[in-house]
Amino acid sequence: MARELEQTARELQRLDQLLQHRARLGICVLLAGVDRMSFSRLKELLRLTDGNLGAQLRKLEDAGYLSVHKAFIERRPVSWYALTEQGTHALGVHLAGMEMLVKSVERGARGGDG
Amino acid sequence: MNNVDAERMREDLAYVKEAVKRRRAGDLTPPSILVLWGVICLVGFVLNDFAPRFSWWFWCLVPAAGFVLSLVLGWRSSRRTGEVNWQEFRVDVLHWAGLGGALAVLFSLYAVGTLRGIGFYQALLLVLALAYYFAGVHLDRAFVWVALLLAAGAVGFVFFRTYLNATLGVLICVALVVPALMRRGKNGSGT
Repeated sequence: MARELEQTARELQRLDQLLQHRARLGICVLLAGVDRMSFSRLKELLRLTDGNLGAQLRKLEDAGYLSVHKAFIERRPVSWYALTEQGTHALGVHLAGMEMLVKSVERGARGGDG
Repeated sequence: MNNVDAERMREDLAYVKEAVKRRRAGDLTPPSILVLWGVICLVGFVLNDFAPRFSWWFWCLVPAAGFVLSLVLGWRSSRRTGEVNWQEFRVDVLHWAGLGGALAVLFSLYAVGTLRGIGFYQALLLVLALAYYFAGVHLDRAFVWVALLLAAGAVGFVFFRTYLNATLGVLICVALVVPALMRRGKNGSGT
């Protein structure tokens, strides 16, 4: 039991504070599957308001997880977002930590049942 | 970490999973490309029956131009949708370029006399059917119907030939344009 608790604590430490917000996690997961994505596409997929999405993107950008490139398509300004190398690494570590945590909770629940 | 945290984490993961699912659902061939190939197939197959002299030139030139135009339409569509994915773009290009390579080999076999007459044409339809089938399985379900029509056409030539090309052209055009119109209606755009 003590060993399991220690392991859970270790996994919790691996979790990225910034990616513990579902919208920020969603942004990074979506960007991990493409080369770049526009603001409006992210908004459509994550079903967020302009203000909320903009705030979450800014936090990720400030942390160096995202890069932004502004361009014009058919005379309309478009902001393109891409995951940086740092962001890709952080997402990988965070997802691995989450997986271990869910597993350890499930193991704990099974142990409690038995 | 308690069960409440675990539950919240599960909900967060479900939210992310839904967003990814929505992205994949929109990951289809742009309607403009489906319409383009629907028209190419219609004109080409009808020419096979009614003006075979021109059909040879048509099939040598137009599909290559259609391939280049498809790349441009695909690129424009991805920019309009707001997603750029070079990995998917590469897979699409390699798939259809592979078909181009197979057709080049078939035409070479025709030129040296290994494949002739209706056997050559049936082999051509079967290669196209196989390429469309794999495209249907790996890229876009809409192509499966085209594959079935092409395979049926290859078999159909054993039994009858009158206007079979023209019929095939019309059916393939319908199989490509109908999903294009459905997608256009759903998206409310022509991308």
